[in-house]
Amino acid sequence: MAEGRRHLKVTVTQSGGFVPVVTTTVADTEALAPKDGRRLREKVKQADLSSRTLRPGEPAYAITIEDDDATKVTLSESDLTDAHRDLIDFVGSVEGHEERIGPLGR
Amino acid sequence: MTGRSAYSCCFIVPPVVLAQLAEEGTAEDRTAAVNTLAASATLRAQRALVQELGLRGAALSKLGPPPGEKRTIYDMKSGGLSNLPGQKARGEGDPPSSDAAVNEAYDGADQTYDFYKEVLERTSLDDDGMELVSSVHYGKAYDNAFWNGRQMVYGDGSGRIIAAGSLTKDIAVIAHEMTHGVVQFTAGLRYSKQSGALNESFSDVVGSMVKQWVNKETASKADWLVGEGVLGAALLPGKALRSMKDPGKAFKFDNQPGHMDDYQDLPDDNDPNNDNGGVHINSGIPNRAFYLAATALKGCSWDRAGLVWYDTLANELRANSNFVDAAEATVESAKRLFKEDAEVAQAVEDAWRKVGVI
Repeated sequence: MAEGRRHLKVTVTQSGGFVPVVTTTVADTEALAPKDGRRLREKVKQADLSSRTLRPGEPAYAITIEDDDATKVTLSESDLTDAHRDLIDFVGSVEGHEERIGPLGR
Repeated sequence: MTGRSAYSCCFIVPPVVLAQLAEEGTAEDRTAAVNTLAASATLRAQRALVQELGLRGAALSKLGPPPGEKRTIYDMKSGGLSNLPGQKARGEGDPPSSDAAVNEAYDGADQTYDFYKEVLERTSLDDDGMELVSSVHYGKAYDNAFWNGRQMVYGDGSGRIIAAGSLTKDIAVIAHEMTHGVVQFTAGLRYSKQSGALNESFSDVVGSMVKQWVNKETASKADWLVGEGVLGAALLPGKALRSMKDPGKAFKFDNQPGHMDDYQDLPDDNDPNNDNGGVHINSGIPNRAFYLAATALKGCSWDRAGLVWYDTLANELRANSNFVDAAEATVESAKRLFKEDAEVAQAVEDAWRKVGVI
């Protein structure tokens, strides 16, 4: 399968800071327009996918990239680069994305 | 009552070590090292100026900032953390801005500063006059507020999770975030599991007390809500983000317990779902203990229960203290602070018993 058509799913889970909820947003190329799928792949390529230890009290993010493999990175607000922020904003706003808001914990 | 200052304790450390800590230390070490390096640089510049001008005695005091409160509000103009603190929008003594969030952050910092100064006899977050820095309009429709180890940061809210423009409208939110700074400079409660839940709880306790103090409310008349009016559409129905009186009943997804029987034992495993081991969840238990103690003692929450809780935070607890440590320390603090008033220690002990901690 050509690289441009490979399945890619990005899940962003966020909590922390003052607000006691978990927000999960998902962008899956199978649910996106082809041009948005290409944009999603480009934004994943731009982001540094290495985890950091979460900083106390700051909003925390887990970004899971599922293609041939699954990669999960965790980052605090202070560790987000512009590329991470761009990816998170895109996953949370692209047409066809999913969003779930729910309680922390179990 | 004097807290431990991250500034003063680090001045004896050579700059080269501070620089290394600022680069390679833990988050806590980095914050302390950067603060100390910045303060040291300012002092060096002042000393050089003094020598050059040949100033002496009383003239020296004019070189420093005026004594007392110092607030600075910055506008992030929707920028992210790399842009912190943003563009200066209002400094101490400046006239009001045309921006509501700037003025709310400025006024809220003032009310919280005054509460700490007048009621708890603490001078700013570090008990040494630390500048109160707040940044508003953080990110794009950002649904959160936080303390980053150095300053307060407020988003605008998207309307979906947080009501637009609401985070700086509730004084309890501002006092909560500022109190994370006080916790950092006092007990330094580690942000994980029970010590992290105590960190959150002390921030809620002072957040609620400042709101009651501003509104001149007794404990029995107060609503005990934190984050009142900030709920976005997805979090409704509800009244606030937390209820110290009725944990678990503040908003749609509120799952805070009010008793140890419902304690959520979660791992602190870097997974955002697990909330650093339930720090925002299990804080409902010590929150309710404070509510029960304050209402049992009648009058205003800050008159007796508030003094006990603050004394415990500032003088008794340590980084890894847990709920039982906090319960025992508050009872001992009540006995020490109110030797002639046994009712206080009894009310505090009863409160922790009612929530199942002791």
